[in-house]
Order: sequence, then C-alpha cells, then structure tokens
Amino acid sequence: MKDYELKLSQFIDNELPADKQQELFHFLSENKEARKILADYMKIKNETKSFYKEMNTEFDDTQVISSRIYTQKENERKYKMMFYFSAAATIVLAFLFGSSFFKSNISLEKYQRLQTKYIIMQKNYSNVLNEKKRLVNLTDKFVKENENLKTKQVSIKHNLFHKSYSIKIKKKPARNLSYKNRNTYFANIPTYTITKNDFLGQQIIGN
Amino acid sequence: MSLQILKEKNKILALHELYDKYSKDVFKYSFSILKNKDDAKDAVQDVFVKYAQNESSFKGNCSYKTWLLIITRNYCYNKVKSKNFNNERIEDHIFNKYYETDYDTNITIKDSLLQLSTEHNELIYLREYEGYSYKEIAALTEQSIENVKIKIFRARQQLRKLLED
Repeated sequence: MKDYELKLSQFIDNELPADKQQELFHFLSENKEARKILADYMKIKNETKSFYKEMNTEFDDTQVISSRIYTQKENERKYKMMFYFSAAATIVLAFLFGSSFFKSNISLEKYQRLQTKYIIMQKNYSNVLNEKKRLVNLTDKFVKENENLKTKQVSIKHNLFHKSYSIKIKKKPARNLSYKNRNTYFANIPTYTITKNDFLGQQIIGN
Repeated sequence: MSLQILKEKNKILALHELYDKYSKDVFKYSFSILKNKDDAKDAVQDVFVKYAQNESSFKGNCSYKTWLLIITRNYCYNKVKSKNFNNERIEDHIFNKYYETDYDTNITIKDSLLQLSTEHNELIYLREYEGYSYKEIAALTEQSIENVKIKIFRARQQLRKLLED
C-alpha cells in the first residue's frame, strides 16, 4: 500500500486536512501515477454514485406494507384480547379453586370444632349420669334414714308413755361472758324434771 | 375506541410518508449488503414493519433515516448470517435493468461492486451514495473512524484493481 493512495481516498471524500491537501497537491503535480490513481478513484466514485442513483425501484408495496402492518396490528390486538381473556379466566379459576379450598378448610375446622364439642358434651353427660347416680344413692340413703328415724320416733313415743325422763337443758352462754362467769352461769342453771303428767298429747306443758 | 383508531390511522399515514421518503434508501442500502433485489425488497418491508413495531423505542437521538438505516443494517446482517449468504450471488436481470448507460463500464462496476465483501460494499454505499462522513459511518456501523477510513480505501483499491482487470 502506498501512503499517498490513502490520502487520495481521503481527499476525494473531503476528509483530508487542509495542510495535508497542500502536500498532496504538490505530490500530484510531480507524480503521474498518483494522478492516474486519483482519476480512477474519482471515476469509481462517480460510477458507484450513478449506479445507486439509477437504481430507482418502483415500489408498489406501500399497500402491501400498510396491509401487513394492519394485519400485524390486528393480530397483536387479537393476541392481546386472547391474553386478557385467558388472564381473566385464570384469575376466575384461581378464585374458584381458592374459594373451594377455603371452604373445605372451613368445613374441616367446623367438623373439628363440632367433634371437640361432642367430646365435651359426652364428658358432661357422663358427669351428669354420675351425679344422677350419686343423687339416687343419696335419696335412697335419706329414705332409709328417714324410715329409721320414724321407727326410732315411734319407739321413743312408746317409751315416753311408760317412763319419766330428766332432761337438762343447757342454755348457751353469752359470748361476752368471761371464763369465770361462764362457770358460775352453768352452776346457776335451774334443772327441770319432766314427768308423765307434763305431757298433753305429744306436747310438753310446763314452765 | 374511535380515538385509538384515529391514532392508529395517523400512525399508518406517518408510516406511509416515511415509506415514500426513505423506502428507496432502505432498498439500496439493503441491496448493498444483501446483493439481491428480491431479498432487498423483502428487507424493505420487514424493516418498515419492524420500525412500526418498535416505534416507541425511537428516542429521537438521530434522524428517522439513520434510525431506519440502523434497523436495515441489523436486519440485513442477521439475514446474511442466517442464510450463510453467498457474496458471489449475482442476479443479472437486476443489473440489466439498472445499467443502461455506458454498458461496458457499468457491467464492470456492477461485477466489481458485487465482488466486494458485504462490509466494503456497505461502506462504499454509505460513502458514495448517502454521502455520509467517516464519523457518521463509524457511528452507524459501530466501528472507529480510522477503521472506516482504511476500509473505504481498501474497498476503492479493490474496485480499481477489479476494473483494471
């Protein structure tokens, strides 16, 4: 590669600095070969330019392009619609699925709650049954005791008609009395003798 | 809803305007990379469709044309990679159509242009037809200015050699 050839190429492209242009002109004036190369380059430049200039194509593709863009946009719109629709469908499905899952969860919770309630109630019921049993036993006891008492009472009544009893009724000491006073109080309690004659019917008559 | 339709219609109208203005440039640029008329035509459609799809991502850092050319470049290079594109693929009917004047010279320039590598062809197109500066080409093709300068020079050298032969 000759150095001036590059400069020539730059020169025909108007890319060579002014100071170097002077040098090149000086060189060209002295060198015939360089002048020929410059002429060739200029010819190539012009021919290439004219080649591309003459390459005028008659495009009838404007309609094609607009229709292509239009169809593309239509397709895009369709895809968008489809996307939105599918997105909405997925949201709905997800919601349904989620709600059913939630519902099933709720029923499970309810079932568990009811089960615990049932267990508690069962326990309470058994407690109640036990209590009932205890009460029945107690009533039985009471009934028996009552019967016993009745029989005792009858025997006491029977004895009362035939025997005399001396009953000492001790009055309760007043709370404010001192220990000493209490003794004296008990010492001074009067004693009553109840005889057969003091009874009228089943009541005691006397002072 | 009607407002949305109106917006869409306006967008389509704007796209039509853009298409009328830059479709040829996109076609030529994609042709410079793909080196095939049909592929370039397909590229024009796909580029504008892509533009319509990614219109919102355009931040206004560059002109619409540059934005379109960037999309075109990406599209074409992807296509070249995916197809394992053959650089020597020539469709004569395209050139018979576009080379009418100075038949002999044009045929040679056609052949020589098609014999260039995709990258060289692209750079020559951007420089000669679009008239972009080295800086702009470097920004568009994502490489250094020095690289662009040398690659354009090499492309010219190669073209000269091919034309001489």
